[in-house]
Amino acid sequence: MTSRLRLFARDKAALAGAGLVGIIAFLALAGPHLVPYPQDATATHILDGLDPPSVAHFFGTDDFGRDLFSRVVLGAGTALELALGVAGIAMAIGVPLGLWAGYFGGWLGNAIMRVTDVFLAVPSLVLAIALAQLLRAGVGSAILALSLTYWPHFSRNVYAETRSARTATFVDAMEGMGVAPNRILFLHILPNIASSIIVRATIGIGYIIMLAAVLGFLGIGVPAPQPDWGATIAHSREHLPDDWWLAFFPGLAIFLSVLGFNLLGDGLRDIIDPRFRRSR
Amino acid sequence: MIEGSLLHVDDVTLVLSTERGEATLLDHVFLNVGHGEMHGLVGESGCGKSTLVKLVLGLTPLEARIKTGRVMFNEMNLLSLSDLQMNDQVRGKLIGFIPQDPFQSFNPLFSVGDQIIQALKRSPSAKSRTRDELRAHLFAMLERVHIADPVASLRKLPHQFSGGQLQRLMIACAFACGPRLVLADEPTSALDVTTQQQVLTLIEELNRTSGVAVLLVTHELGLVTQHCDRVTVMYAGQTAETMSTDVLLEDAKHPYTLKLLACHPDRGRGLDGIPGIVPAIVDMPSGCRFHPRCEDAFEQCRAGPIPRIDVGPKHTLWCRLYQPSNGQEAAFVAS
Amino acid sequence: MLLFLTRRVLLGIPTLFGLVLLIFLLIHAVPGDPAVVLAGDQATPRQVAAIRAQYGFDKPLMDQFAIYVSQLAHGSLGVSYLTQRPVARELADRLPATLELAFFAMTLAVGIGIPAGLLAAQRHNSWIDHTLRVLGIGGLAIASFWLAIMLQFIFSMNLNLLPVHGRLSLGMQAPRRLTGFFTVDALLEGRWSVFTDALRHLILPGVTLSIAPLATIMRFTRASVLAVLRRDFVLYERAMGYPRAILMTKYILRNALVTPITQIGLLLGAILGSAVVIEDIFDWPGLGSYAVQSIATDDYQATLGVVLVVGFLYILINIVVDFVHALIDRRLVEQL
Repeated sequence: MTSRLRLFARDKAALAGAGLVGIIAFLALAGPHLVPYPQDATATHILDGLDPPSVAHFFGTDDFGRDLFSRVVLGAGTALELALGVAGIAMAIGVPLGLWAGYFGGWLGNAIMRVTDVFLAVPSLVLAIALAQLLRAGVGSAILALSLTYWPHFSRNVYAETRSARTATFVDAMEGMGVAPNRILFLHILPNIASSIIVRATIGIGYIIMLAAVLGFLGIGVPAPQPDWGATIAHSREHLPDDWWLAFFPGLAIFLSVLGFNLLGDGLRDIIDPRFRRSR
Repeated sequence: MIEGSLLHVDDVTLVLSTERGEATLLDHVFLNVGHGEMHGLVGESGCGKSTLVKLVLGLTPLEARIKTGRVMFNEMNLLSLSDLQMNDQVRGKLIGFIPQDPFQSFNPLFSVGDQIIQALKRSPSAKSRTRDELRAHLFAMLERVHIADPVASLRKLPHQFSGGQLQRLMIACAFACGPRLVLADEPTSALDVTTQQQVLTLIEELNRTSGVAVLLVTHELGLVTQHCDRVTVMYAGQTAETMSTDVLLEDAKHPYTLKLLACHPDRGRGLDGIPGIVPAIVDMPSGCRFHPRCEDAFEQCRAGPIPRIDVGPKHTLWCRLYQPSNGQEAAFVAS
Repeated sequence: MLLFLTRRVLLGIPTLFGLVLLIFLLIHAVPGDPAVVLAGDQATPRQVAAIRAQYGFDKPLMDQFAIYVSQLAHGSLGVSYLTQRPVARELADRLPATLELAFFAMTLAVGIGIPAGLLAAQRHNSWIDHTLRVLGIGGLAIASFWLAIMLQFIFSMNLNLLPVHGRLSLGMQAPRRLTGFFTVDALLEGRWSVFTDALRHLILPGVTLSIAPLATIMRFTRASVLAVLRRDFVLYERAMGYPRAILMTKYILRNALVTPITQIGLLLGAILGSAVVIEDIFDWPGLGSYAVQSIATDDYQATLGVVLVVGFLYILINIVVDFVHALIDRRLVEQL
């Protein structure tokens, strides 16, 4: 275990990723208590509208006069909450299905994977948008839409991993000894593939943050006035080219969070499974 | 320069910097292959046989450094040639190559014909022939290695052949190029036993009839005694002994060689192993690398470099148990 | 080979069927009367009744599905309540615009991504390699809509180098519609000025869409080349004196391209997805902006129509990619 930690520590990119994720998590948790203008989550001061970055307002103000820095930091909370919720639900759906289909196979297993294929037959973004629209506005709908979009990624991954884990000799031995399939699945196979699930979840959170940002941009994500990076960028369009900060800083925030999760996920993948280690 | 030798690896040392220090992959190694000779290079896995082959071909890793020595071939020091020169003049031209695993060594996406011809068309064989003559030459070679229906076969992809067939294609390609020397790196290790004999007999036959020298690299002493004229024994990156096969069977002197012979089921008194294991590449003993496992080792064996002892005209070994002057056992060795 | 293609197409049919089923279920999964939902908020009772009759919402579910499928078979995707035109017609009008943009972006991604990945692999661990890897990872983290806006900001609004939006400048007449691709059609007509104008308009949205696929292709090519370089046949080919250039560009590259090419299908799908937003930002009259419009107006028939068409395209693209894959690696032909 410690040797793997050491390996991780030597990977600068992974460390950077972990650092970024740490910062995002910190901002999400502590943000509301640390931002200079917490009330700007909802308040408006039209008179202060669209001021450029200054000492009073690090990122400037938006079209409602709200401090952009505060809103961007608070947006981290929105984004992370949403992404964790989605990842959780997607895992809750995808992992059991993948496990079952990968282990027992048969016509039901095949059917499950067919359904997975169908969901994956539509590009994720298109599916997410269609679902979000159908389910109407609201945070819950956004979460549901994104979960329904992302679960097949988990199930496909878990299916492949379970299938190859299943071929391990020790599984044959246990089945031969009459160990109940449920025991094998949960006590032996699941721990083996848990690490790849974690990797997928990490990279998935980055992906979901991106998808959520697009939904926010299109106006079908988190409803106003809750701080949302994508929505803020959407607002910025009418104010370009003069008030560039409104577009720039939220986008930067998206970039850094997605980057962080991607780097972290890659780093985890490298230490967890040497087979998939990126060639250095 | 030894008279009449085709390939002369002279006192070559190859080192590699690793995280745990400098590893000496080849330590003052020596190899001498004569014209038209079938020469066996034998030793355990990890003794440096494959590294030596790569050295001759100039394909050692970029990070590895030549510390001493030269490789004389055709009156050129191969180590002084650039990669481009090696590619243009030596590889696939003056020196041919037969790899260990034919399944992995053929490119899976191209027909075997495409690949063989790619090697052939810049070889010495091509220089003196027209296209049609070259084709005929290749077909004749394919026939000699018992590949049926050459035209159809050449168009097939590697996965459509058996291991034995692929290896015979490799052999055909290597010899068809018209080299002076063919390096066969464990050509039978990936094949089953019956095919092994077929392949080795084929190589030996081609060696005899064409006069092309063959360096047969293997870990099986039995193969060497069966098919080779001369043999060089390596251990842990050092050369132990080199001699003709007859001498090997009757008058081998190096402790390691003797142990190898004793391990052979035909000769030994049962399955004797050699106690101990081959050390890791960064933890090599000083001096003679075999000394920790050698029953007759003594104090001096730890001090390197090991003196070279010429016992007979073509019998040389590296060991402190013998006197350099006359190859007799050193006086202080207990009998 | 033909047999392979047939088998592959047949494999795609259940997926297509599943997709249709999914869409159908989505229509019914929405709370409320599906007829009202599809007809839209502003529909009159008459329109609602018409839709109910058309889809047979008063009939049992199985019959409804049969009706839906037969409608699709006849090329009907319903009617957009916003424009009152058939959705299928509107999508057909807009499809070439999206395809032109998607192919342009993909060409950029492949044209730059593969050589870059190859270069990074050849100069393994050099500064070039490290820089490209960083750029690759960064490229995947950039929100495309953000990039679009930033590029517009820099190149159009500030530097005035490229047009802000649209497919053609005002006053420029579109070429006669042969393929629907303005660039191709302009060339076919020999109208050079229209060609350059269309090309200039393609650049900003095309570059925006190409970044993520480019990063992915570069990454995969690099990893693939590095993996191939370790294979035994590379050692053998070097040992037998294959000329370096031919070794790289023919024997190694073909093996290395297998993985990136299988990604192309996925990436085109991702491009189609991203196109939704990008088209909206650049006022590009394709499927994407149509989808945004239908979302904003709650035009469900239109949205579902887009999902179906995009899904169908995606399935088709993957079949083509599998075919190309089998062309490169003949071993696959026997496997299927």
